[in-house]
Amino acid sequence: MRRPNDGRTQHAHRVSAARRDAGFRLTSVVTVGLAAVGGLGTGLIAGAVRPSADASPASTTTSIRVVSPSTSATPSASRTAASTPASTKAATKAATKAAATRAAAPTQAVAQPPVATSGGS
Amino acid sequence: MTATALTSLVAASTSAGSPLWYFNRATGVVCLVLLTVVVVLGILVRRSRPVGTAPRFVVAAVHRNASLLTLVFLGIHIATAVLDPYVTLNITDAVMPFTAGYRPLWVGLGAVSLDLMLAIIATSLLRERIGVRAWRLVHWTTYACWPLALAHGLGTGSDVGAWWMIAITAACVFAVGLSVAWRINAARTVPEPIAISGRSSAIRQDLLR
Repeated sequence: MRRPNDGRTQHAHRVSAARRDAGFRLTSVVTVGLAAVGGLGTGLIAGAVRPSADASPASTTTSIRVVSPSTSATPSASRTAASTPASTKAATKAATKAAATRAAAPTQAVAQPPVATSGGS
Repeated sequence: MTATALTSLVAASTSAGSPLWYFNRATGVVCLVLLTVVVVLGILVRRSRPVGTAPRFVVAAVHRNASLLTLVFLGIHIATAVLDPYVTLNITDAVMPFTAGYRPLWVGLGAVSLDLMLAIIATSLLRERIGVRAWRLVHWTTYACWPLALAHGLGTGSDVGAWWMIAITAACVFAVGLSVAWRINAARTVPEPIAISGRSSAIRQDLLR
């Protein structure tokens, strides 16, 4: 009869059942440990690199998030622009102007005329 | 006041990156470490020398599980790179080498490494169907996959200059170099099993190792 060769058994068939069970248990523990270390490492590194903004891919450029008055600032709305002082200044100025425009815009609530109640007994 | 708050928000967004970008960088480092673990275990399990007190099938199983785990983190690494607004990458750039608009050479090396890894894992899962010889032939490309991944990280990694990244990279290179030396040394002392002919004999020899 052909021996099953599914990976788990291909090296394990020559050891005793107790040693095999212990081996599979050890495999599970090590695998879970690796996954935990990977997850923890990802979190730690992501937290560690967060403040270092100078390490962003565009180290020679600055990401400018363009805020449109009509739409909310979504990640897709961000743009990468050259970090020349002029463009940065212009973008900041445009964003400030847009905010000022929004602040000055009339509110949607319109005062309703009093409802005339007709009749009355 | 609203204008001031918005201005500071814009300023903050210019100085801080997206969380996706941080996760992309972090998963890249974790992928390199996990891939190193996979390669080292793969080298150690190949030879008939015991690896410490652990049975060989344990090392083989951990090697296989770690490779699948690497694939999971690699998926997160690619997904965050594609979704992140900082760099304009799409899923095709991650699979097709040297087509990316952003650092095509270094991203392309990562794509080649990914393709090789997918081929290695696919042939490992289909090992029973394709035979040991074909599987082993593809598996040899691991020796290209790992250096390509390392070069991808060194070329395009944002934290290459950081002390901790230098330490991690050095440790990975040292671990793989040491295991390769161990294997070469073992090859001198333990003769390579001779594949007689045909698939069944190759499988039988592999089982007895």
